This record gives sequence, C-alpha cells and structure tokens, in this order.
Amino acid sequence: METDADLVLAARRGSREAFGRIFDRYWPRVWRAAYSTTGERELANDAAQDAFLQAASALHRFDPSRALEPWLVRIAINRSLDLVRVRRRFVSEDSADERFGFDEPLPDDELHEALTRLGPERRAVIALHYWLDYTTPEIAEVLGVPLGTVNSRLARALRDLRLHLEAKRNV
Amino acid sequence: MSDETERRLRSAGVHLPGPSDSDTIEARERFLAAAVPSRTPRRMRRRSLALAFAAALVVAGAFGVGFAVASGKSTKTTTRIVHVKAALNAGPGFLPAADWDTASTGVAPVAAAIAANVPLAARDRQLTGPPVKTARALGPNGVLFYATFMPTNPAERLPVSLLPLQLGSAKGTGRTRTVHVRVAAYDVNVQITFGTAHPSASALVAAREELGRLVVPSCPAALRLTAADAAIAKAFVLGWLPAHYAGAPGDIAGATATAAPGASAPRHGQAAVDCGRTVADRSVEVDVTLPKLAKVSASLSELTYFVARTGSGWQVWMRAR
Repeated sequence: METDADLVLAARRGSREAFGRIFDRYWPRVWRAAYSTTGERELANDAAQDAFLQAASALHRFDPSRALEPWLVRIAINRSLDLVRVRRRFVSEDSADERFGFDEPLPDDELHEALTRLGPERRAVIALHYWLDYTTPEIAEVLGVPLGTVNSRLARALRDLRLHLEAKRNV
Repeated sequence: MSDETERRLRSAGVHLPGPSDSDTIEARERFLAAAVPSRTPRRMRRRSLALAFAAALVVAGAFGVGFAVASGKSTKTTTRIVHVKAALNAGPGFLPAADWDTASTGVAPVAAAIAANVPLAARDRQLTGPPVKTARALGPNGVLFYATFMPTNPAERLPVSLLPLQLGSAKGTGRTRTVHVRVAAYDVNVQITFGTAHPSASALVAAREELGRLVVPSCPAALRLTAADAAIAKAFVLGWLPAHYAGAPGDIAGATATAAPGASAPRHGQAAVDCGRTVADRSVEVDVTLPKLAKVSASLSELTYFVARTGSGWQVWMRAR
C-alpha cells in the first residue's frame, strides 16, 4: 500500500488516481470526526467536504513527511466548530437548555443524552480519543492546542458524563 | 485506567454512523474536480468560454424564449429577452426563465448545462466540472441543477423517459437528488442540489418547474435523401438562418454555405453518435460561413447544421461545433 507521502507526491504531479485514493482512504474517518462534533449529517458533509477541498488547494504546501489524516481531521473539526457556532446564532439567546444531539441516536440512550449536554469542543475531544483512537498528544496536534488543554477538556468531559450517568442511575 | 463510562463510550463509537453513499460520491466528485482542474490553457479556456457563450446564445434563441443574463452584483437573477425565435433542437440545456441563471455547453460530445436560482459562480459557468462554488453558496431556498448529456451507451440500461422530466422520479433524499434516464439520443444525468437537506415546499416547486424546462434534442424521423436534397438543404438553411441566428443580424450578411449529404459529411460520425447511423445517413451537413465575422473569429464565422427532410418538411436538428 502506498504511503501518504507517495500519494501526496503523486497527487502533486496531477495524478487523479492519487487524489482518489487519498479521498477513499480518509473520507470515512474525516466525516466521522465532523459528525461526532456537529451531530448533524448535513453539517458533517459540509465540514468534511470543506476539509478535502481545502486540502486539494493546499496540497502543494503540505509536508509529505507528515501524516495526512490529522491534517484533514484538523480542518474538518475546525470547520465543524465554525458551523456549530453559526448554528448557535439561530438558537434563542435565552435558551438555557442548549443541546447538541445526534441525527442518529446512539443505542446507549443514557450516554446519548449525556453526550448531547457536552459542548462541541469537548465532544470533539471525546470523539477523537474514544471513537477515532487518537492519543492525547495527537489530539493536541490535531486541534492545535497545548496537551494540557486536551487533558483538561477530556477530564472535564468525562466528569460531566459520569455525573450525568450516575444521576440517571439514582433516579 | 478504563472505567464504566469509558467502556460505554468506546462501545458507542462502534455504532457511530458513516457517510451515506450518495454524499460520498458527491464529495468525491467535487474533490476530484477541485483537485485535478482542467489542463486547458487559459487562452483555450477563454476561447471555449466564448464558444460556449456563442452556443448558449444560439441555443437560447433557438429555444424560442430568449436568453437569461445574470447580474454578478445582484443577489437576484434577472432575465432579459434578447431574441424570440422559433423552436430548434440545437442542443441540450435549460430554457431561460425569470430568476434562474443558466449556462450550457450547447451541442458537444459531452454536453453539460447548469441552472440555479442564485447567480452562478463565474468558474462554474465555464462548465469544466460540477458547479461546486455555486452549490456552496446556495441559501436555504437555493436550488441548483447540473445536467450532463452523453450519447446513449447501449451497455448501460437506463429507464427511457419523455420530457418533461419529473422531480418525483429523482432518486436520493437530503440535499442532492438525481435523475438518470435516457431521453432520445442522450443518457441524461441531472443532479439537483438544494440549499438544505429539507427543502421547503417553495423550493421543491421551483425545482419541479425548472426541471420541466430541461430540453433535450430529439432525433428527427428522417426520410431518405434524393440526389437533389443537398442543394435543397443548403438553400433551406440559408433561408432559415436570418430568423434563427442569435447574433447581430448584420453578421449574416453575405453568408455562404456548402452542403454534404449522408456519409460524405465531415461530421457524419458525430451525427451518427448523436442520433444513430440511419439518421446521419439521411441528413445533410450544411456548413455556413459568415464573412463579416471571419476577421473577428474563425470559429464564430463558421456554423454547422445538420438538417433532414421529415414528413412535415425540412428540419434543422443539430448545430454541430
């Protein structure tokens, strides 16, 4: 199997096939990263497409010694957060019960409910760590924030989830 | 250390949905269109654009309802009637209509046409690929059509359809729907993109009406040619041209023509691809030269039409490029 560097260099030479392989290799995971953050298929489509379109125009500047996926995921998550912020503007300012559900509910109802209460920034960290198997240093690189910030977001997200799940259990 | 919450999180990740097939196909197409642009030199692109524009003028005039122009500064598209002509099957495309911005390659080996109820992005108007920029700019009530017209491929089994195409027959849900059918000599693929996954009733009605404005040339029921038909066809086209030429009327002053019947036609192959060998054999290629435009542009000064004699008289059925 070609390495990312092989594909990047071939793509730079104008190989349509290389671009196609880049897309096929990373589209599902980039899309899932976007969906995990936004919770909406439509926004995830937009964010993931943006990531690939930006990548297409910036590939000539990309360092082929680096991995492609974190770069694509980074663009997709940043775009997802932008889209969610835009969406927030349409939510009534006095709406205290602002939630971010998923278009397709998770089978674990309680966990789904708990995750909707997390802000998209924390949910992105959860998704990258538990669903896309990124380590915390990798998440720091993807999100462009210090490792301490990642650890803090992860810890707070887990704390909030545990509190919610325990509360449910005690009802 | 993993606890119950983390275990449940990991388990939930298994059930995370993936992108739909249609979204994946659409995204891949857009990515490749953006990643591997046409290698046509800029000068050639400008020439192609001019040709497409000229073809669009002919098509628009020929369709009998004028030609739509969009203001690049305004968010609202306006329609200006330039010519009102009789019908001619000059090429596939969308009929101009108020508040719709349209563009078409006219007759081409792989023809394409787009229409949107927002101004088309300048890059998309060149029709070198899917209209990605316009799609991204669609508002909640935005509707965008991207149609491609390929010569029929017998190996591909497509449902045969009559015009007008029906929105109800479109496949897919959400933002993008697709109609893929065979109409006359073309395999027609129409992608309809809405501004949102849940288009409003007014957007759906607008889309249905615009889909009804998609026209595809039909092939003529051509009769056998006689020895005199080449000369008759030439005279017919020269007589027909003043009422159907979409450019300035003065351009056609002094027009001359040559005619080549059946298999002797230089573009017989193209005609055969479009409408089959029988129709091509029974058609006359008439090449018109406009001397007044020869100094401006060789391509604009040369017009090529295929005409055939039918039970209801002579019919111009294709303008070749």
